[in-house]
Amino acid sequence: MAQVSGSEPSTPGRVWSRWAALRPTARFRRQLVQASIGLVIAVAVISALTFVFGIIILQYAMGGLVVSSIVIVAAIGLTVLYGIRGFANFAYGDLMTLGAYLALLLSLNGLSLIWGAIVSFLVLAVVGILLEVVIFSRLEGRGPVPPIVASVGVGLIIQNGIRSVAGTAEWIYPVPATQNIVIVPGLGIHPVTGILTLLVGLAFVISAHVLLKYTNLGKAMRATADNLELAKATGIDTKRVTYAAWVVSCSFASTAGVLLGLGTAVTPTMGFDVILLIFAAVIVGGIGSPYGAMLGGLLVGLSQEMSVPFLVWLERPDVIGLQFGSAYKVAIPFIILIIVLIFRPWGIAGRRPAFARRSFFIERITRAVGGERGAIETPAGEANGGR
Amino acid sequence: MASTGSAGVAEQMAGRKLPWSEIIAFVAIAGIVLAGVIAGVLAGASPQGILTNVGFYASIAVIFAVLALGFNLQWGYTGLFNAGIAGFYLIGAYTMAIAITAPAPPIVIGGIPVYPGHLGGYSLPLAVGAVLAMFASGAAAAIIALPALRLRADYLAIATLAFASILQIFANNLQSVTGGAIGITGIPKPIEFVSAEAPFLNAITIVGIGSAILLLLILLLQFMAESPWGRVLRAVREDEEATMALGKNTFNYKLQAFAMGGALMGLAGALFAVTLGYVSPSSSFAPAVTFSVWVMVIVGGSGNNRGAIVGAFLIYGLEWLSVQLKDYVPIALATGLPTLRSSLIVGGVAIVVAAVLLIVFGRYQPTSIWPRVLRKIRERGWVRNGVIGALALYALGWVFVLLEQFAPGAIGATIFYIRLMFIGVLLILLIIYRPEGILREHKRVLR
Repeated sequence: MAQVSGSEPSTPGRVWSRWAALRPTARFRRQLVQASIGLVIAVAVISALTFVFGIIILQYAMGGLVVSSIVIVAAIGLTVLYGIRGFANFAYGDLMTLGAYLALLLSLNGLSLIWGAIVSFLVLAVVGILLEVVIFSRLEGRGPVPPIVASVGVGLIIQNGIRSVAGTAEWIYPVPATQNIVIVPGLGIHPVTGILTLLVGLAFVISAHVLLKYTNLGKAMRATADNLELAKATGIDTKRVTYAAWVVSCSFASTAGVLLGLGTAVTPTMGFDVILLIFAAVIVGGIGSPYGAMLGGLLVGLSQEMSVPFLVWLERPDVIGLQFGSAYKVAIPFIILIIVLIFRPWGIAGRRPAFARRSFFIERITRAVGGERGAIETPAGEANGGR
Repeated sequence: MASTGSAGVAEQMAGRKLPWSEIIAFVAIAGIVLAGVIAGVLAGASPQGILTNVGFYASIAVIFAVLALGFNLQWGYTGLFNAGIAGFYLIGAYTMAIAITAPAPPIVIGGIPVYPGHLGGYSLPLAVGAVLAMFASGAAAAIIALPALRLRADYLAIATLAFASILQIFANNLQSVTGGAIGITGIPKPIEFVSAEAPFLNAITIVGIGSAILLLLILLLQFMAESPWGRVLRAVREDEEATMALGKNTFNYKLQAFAMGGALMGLAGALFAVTLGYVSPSSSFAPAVTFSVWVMVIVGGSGNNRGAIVGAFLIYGLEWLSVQLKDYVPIALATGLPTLRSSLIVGGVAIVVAAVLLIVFGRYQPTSIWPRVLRKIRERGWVRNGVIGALALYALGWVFVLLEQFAPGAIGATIFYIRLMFIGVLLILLIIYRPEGILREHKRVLR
């Protein structure tokens, strides 16, 4: 590492070694190259689509970005908990609904929506700690399934509690009705549901990045998610980290719920309806990896919204005459999820487990067809460069 | 279905405790049916109508029992967690409906499409439809399991949950196949009766067919579970890597178990289509169905076929009873509210007195009876649970009274949601305190 070599006293290279820490590492350069390739591909795809479908595709891309920013906030919260506590929180969507309803309750009682969102952020943090203390701490070390069952129970209680208290009607947040801001003809963005959502999403991404990268708590969280036993052995208070994960997870859920309610309406099933999208983002990004969740959320949200023109095209009688084509857009994340599960189950940004076979699914097919048996490859190249 | 060996029954029973939890479960089921019958009598229904209603309970409970058996094969025996039971159920129901109904062309009245029609209308025999339904659901289960089975249990849960919700969207929107939001109606009954007593006779036939299928299934499943194949499944559940090391191709076993469980769920869907006479993408295939089946299997003890059936009759019985009593709860609360409140106050005084007696005498007068009672509460698990349960019931009574005081009529209106919340509470409590189930331990020595 650069720092180690630079700490040697009075070598000729001492003059610039002060800046050695800032020199991009090989890993960072690789990531930079990957990111720019991804960006170029994305821009190329979007321009090609714009060329084919017209300016309308940019409108869908904008909608996709807005959806992505909600999904990313939720997916970061879900994946942090997933990484540290090791189970899929099926109640996550309902926690989002709870946050949205709390903000609604406060905003109907005179507070502004922003204060409502802040209070619901804090309340949900407390709810998260309570959930861990009352329920989930008792299920530690019993595998992934019992916490899933318990979280479904929590979700049922929240969802139906809301239904019986607040009714099943749709609620709209009291925000001033404004027109879309027109950027170019045919392409506009709403100041509240568009720009505000994007900004809040960006703020949460940045704060998650700062928390994870530059604070001791964040480092402890990453270490715990990476290897629980090793983190315990190095003296990290994993109990505290677990509580912090619940706080981050549930408070992010509340904000994601408020953003979701801003975009559409507040209903008892609004969170449960998007849980699939969020799971897809988390798995596509790699479970337990917040940066993967950002990438996965972007991919899933964009592809869901931008598939609409294609599905509408399928509605034409001379193509296949599909009815209600745009209703199927929620199937797109599922398809992405299945593809990722087949070819890259550890996610696009997650770390490949050392024992993973190179392509187990393809190998299985070839074996079934009658190829040679066995041949378990050890990913030798990955062992060095995997970190 | 304990296998009776060469030893006499008396010798087998000697030294064995009475299966109290099973007896309680059966008494509870009988009580549920009795309460439903009483509700029917109070409503002034004819004896035949009451019997039809009970028959409806039995036929739907049989369907849930088949679902629970399928999930038990997947989770209880093999350890594969399926969160998309409702999806496989839906496939079975629609396959059955498409296979056995008569052709239904689209209906257009005055240029407005009223009914979009649906695929099929092949008018096949019922048995063929059921086999097709099983095949379709089993194939779907195998396809969804292929990528997910290799991975951790939660990937399978997420993939199946996603599959189920996608299927509901397809059922709602793929109108030319499924008939859209209206669904498929006019599904033929096993025997078409034309008399005025047709509903009653239909209920009787359905219950007869359903129980015959259930009996066959439990014999078959018990045989399969005891066979070498079933032993491998349980070995996979306990320790997959060790089973692999024994030379078993665990992936194939898991795939077979998952597909067979899916096929059973398809059979349940086929039964559902015939029982109700229509299928629609309504709450019948909502995720709540999946969660109810989980509760049934966990109550019955995962890995215990008989328990799964008892759990299905018990949990669906509660749902049925909540529908039967829906009209009576508000009336009973309105009339009985003062009585309930005063009895709760008296009960509260009694609880406080008992607590004071327990604590004061328990501490300062060790010779009296109270220290012994206190010790029993501390040490005997069932006494402690009984005390906790009584306190919980007491708190529930106050919740009812206060709710009725401040929001009259809310309980009657929200009884459906309260039932789902109850299922949620049950899931959490069971998975924390009794993961092996109420009825019987499922862990046995692998023979």
